[in-house]
Amino acid sequence: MSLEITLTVTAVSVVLAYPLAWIIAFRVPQRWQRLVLLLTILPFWTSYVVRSYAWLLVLAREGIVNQTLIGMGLLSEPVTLANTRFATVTGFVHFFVMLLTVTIYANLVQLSPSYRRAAMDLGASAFQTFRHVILPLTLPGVVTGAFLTFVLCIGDYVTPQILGGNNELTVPQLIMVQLGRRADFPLAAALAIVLMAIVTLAYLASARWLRLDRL
Amino acid sequence: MRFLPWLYLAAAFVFIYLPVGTLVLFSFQDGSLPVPPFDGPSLRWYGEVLADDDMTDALINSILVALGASTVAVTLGFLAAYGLARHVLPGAALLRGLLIAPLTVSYLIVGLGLLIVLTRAGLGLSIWTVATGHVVINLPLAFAIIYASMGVQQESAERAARDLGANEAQVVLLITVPMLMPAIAAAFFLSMTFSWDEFIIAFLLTRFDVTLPVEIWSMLRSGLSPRLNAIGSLVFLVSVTVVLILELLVFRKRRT
Repeated sequence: MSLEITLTVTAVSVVLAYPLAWIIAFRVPQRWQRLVLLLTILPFWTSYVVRSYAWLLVLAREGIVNQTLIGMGLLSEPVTLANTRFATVTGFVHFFVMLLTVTIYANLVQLSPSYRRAAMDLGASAFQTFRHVILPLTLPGVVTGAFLTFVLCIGDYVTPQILGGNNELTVPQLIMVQLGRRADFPLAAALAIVLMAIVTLAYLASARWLRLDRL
Repeated sequence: MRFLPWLYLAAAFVFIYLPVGTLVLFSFQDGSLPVPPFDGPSLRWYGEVLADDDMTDALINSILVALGASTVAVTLGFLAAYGLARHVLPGAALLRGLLIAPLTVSYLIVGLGLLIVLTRAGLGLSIWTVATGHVVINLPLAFAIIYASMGVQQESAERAARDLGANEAQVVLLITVPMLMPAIAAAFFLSMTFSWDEFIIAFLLTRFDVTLPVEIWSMLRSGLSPRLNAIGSLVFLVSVTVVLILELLVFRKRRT
């Protein structure tokens, strides 16, 4: 359960953040870039309890999303968005898009523009340039950001607890159940070890491209 | 096609600011439910939150923990960075790794580990144990930031000071610390925001003197309320202020 959510979140966040970082790095004029970047990550600094609560507000049955869709005539009655896996994933993606945008942006601006120019001069299309030149060169940054996303996402208790409802539990939620209701420390510790093992596996899988020292 | 990037940027900003915007807007709600339609603006809920003793106690606890934990974490982080950067120690690479490794351990696991240790040791939970937990999570970060900015320039200035007869304490306090001030300030403010926003460790390691995120958490059980919006907006405002100070003081200076 945890793993499924985490992998979805990581993939969706990377796919959404890459174009955003790209636009900020190559379309936004140089002197505005720092400001745009600062604005992009400002909500990143909301406390995660508050941020999850804010999403609950947005996704509630009477919330702004449902009311807007009904107002536009796209829905006839409110749909349940809060307390679902969708809500958990949305809350996570929101946070990690901000994180990944910064990491990927940092990589994109380090690239010398001559690589792009050279590829273009040699007749590559914009897509080919991206696929064969830019993407491989920024891969370490992407993988580092994705690894960070994975680690933070799989270990988080607050977001799934507030947004996900109690239909399905993630590993951190299971740990907290052991601690709270049953005071079963050994089982909680065992689950924590499982979490750390998963993180270690993720580390080994991505170690080739990881540049943790470059964060 | 040309405006497609700008459309994407605009859509991204809507997505990024949707929750915070909603939170802040409905904190000014006059009614008792923070959902559309919006009526107001009214400061009623801010007044109620600031008059709430539980809330102000939690606020004071949060500030104390953030200040105390950040001071200790930055001090220890600085000393570790100084020691490892300036002296040849056996197993220095291993020590560096050990200091940074906790960054990849989830806060929940750090909190759980500390809870087990404290229970075994028979120590009661209090604001002190929360602060200890926050030192544990902020120390690796403080160390990494300060260590990364220790360079050759400070080293030659330190050597010059020593040649001129300064003792070790004078060298550290009068040369190294001032020269590293941007990094030390960055580490301090970052620790502050992490400690200020941190929930799970504070939740596990305290009973009665809770911090603000824990107080908000217990309010959440009673469902959506404009009071939560008001206190959430205030918490956000504080974090943003600290981040902006950091941006203006530290990063601006570094660029010029």
